[in-house]
Amino acid sequence: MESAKPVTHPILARFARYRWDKIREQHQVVFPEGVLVVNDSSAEILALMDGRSEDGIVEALEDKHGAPEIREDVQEFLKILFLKGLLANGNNHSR
Amino acid sequence: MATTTVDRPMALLAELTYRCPLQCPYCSNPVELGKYSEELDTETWLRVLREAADLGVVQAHFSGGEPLLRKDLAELVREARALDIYTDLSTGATLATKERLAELKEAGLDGLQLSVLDPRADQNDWLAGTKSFEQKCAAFEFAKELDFPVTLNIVLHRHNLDAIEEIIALARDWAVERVEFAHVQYTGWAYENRAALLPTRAQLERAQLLVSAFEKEVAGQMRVLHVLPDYYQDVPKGCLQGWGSVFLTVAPDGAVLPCQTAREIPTLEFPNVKTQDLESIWFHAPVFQKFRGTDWLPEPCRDCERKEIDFGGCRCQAFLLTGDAGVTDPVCTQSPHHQLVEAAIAAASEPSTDFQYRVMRR
Repeated sequence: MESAKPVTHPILARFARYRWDKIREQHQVVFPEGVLVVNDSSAEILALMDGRSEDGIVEALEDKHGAPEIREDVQEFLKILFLKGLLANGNNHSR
Repeated sequence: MATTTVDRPMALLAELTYRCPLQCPYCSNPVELGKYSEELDTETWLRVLREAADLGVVQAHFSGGEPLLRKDLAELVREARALDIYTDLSTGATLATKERLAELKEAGLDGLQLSVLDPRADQNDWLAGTKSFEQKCAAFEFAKELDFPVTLNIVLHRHNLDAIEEIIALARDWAVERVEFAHVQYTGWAYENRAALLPTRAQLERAQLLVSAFEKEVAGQMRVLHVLPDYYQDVPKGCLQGWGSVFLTVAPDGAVLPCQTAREIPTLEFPNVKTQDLESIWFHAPVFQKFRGTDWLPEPCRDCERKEIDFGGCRCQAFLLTGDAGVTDPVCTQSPHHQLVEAAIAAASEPSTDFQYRVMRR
């Protein structure tokens, strides 16, 4: 049996959608069975999940903030999305 | 006296109609369907969606009955999207023509959930009480062509649990984004048909192993949801994450229910969107206060460490099994009524009985 392919170009699963909740003033990822509330820095990562590579996301954030440990933050957030089944691969042409 | 603040609801279940071309024997609609044949008009549903958005609702699940029987479905989806509400449709799919699905896609529908009763065509048609398998497969093809993210919904019970390999194969073949394996919850029609639907523990355990293995295998490619049969658990489900906590249902006739099956409890009175706005209903209607939070909890829940997890379990189930909606869900092994669930499980090893199809009756 083929194992799950690694996600190299992370995007949100197609059934999930980001929204800003203006009543609760929070970033949300909404999907059929629930809502994941995320903080400002995770929302920034989400905005960069447009089909570019994980490295590309990290580089864009480093260019903007120049802060260390950005890669760890990105990987940690992507892991949360993966465990919730909310992550897909945006570079799926070979599938 | 409730002292906790009441949060705003996250999810609206919009039951657009109780009409349905299928007659599934485990339907969650009220058994006395014919009593509620009146339906809200389009203008009222549009107002309900606006009130829901103002109240803080984040997602709208359009359901039924068969919501595609409503010609205004796409108009309602479009309005919800304009209000930045996430939209999700649950359909039996027999009316999901390519034209209707294209219209919904254009309206901005976020998620499409298609139900299949059984991966074997003849079994599907028998369970639905009508020929429908081919139409469901055609609807799936249309959904793929239109690039919808699809959820495959399969309700599990005694008659299809042994076909779990075929069910998994169907999810794999269709390469859906999500698959929901949902065991029957024994309220509504399913309660009436319980003796014919409840699986045995052996059936259940075998299927659970296979579903868990499949879930691991497709992690990262397909989201697998598994709703367990609460009769076989030791503790009750955290129904709705608590009564009047995050969910509300608007029924086809405009009644506002804390839970879609709350009409099972005849002592409750439900407000209606025709005469009251959603915000005042959510915060002030007595029926939403009745089992909200934990202050109302009976023994043995009151001192239980799980009381903030399961809130005493399902109110509808407590009523159906004991006649009192205010007692601990008998599914819990701590419930003084737990023997009622044990008796139902013991009966599940008897040969299967006939079920009755869902029909319009008063």
